[in-house]
Amino acid sequence: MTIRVLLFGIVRERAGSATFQLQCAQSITVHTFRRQMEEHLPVLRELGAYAVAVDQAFANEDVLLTGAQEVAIVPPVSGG
Amino acid sequence: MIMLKKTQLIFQSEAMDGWLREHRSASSGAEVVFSGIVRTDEHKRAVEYLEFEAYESMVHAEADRIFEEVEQQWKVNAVVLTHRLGRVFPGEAAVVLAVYARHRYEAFAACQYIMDELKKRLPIWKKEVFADGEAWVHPHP
Repeated sequence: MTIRVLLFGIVRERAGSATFQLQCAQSITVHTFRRQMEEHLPVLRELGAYAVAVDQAFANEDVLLTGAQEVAIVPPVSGG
Repeated sequence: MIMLKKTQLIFQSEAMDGWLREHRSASSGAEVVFSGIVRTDEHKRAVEYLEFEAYESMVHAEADRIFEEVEQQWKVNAVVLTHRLGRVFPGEAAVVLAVYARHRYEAFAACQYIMDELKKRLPIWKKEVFADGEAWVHPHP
């Protein structure tokens, strides 16, 4: 299963790409997704806090990612 | 009356002109407009420009959720939000929010609420670009 992840801001810049493909054997929770993404993108640990969005809404840690949703890493926002 | 809700993300400052006044109507006695202007200096350094990027589809979705919260708390006729993307220079507006209501109390309160929530929740990011460097701004984890 592949989870296609949208990247923005400092995470996009440090990853050198606006998307990331995370390979998983099965569906995973947002909590597990964070741990796995932090292995691939060390900038996430440096940030301290960041949100995960699923289908254009902030997601809780127990939301299950199946590969069918739109998933995004949301670093701390600074609009306005 | 059903509240009118509009959000736009634009690259050109000219596109902001005229956008707000289209939504004036005689049923709204109050028009409260907030403009967020790019300052000439941050942290005692001269700003060349700010660079904004957004997760655009989620900005619209999250803004709609904020507007629904407004609708549940105040009687507001219309909310019009516009935010710049790309480079925005000192003295230019990065964000303009207009709230229309029958009376000023609702318009002021809703305007304050939307700006506070926008800063916490809308997936928009800015980078400050100075003559001698640049930095992403991360005030709201």
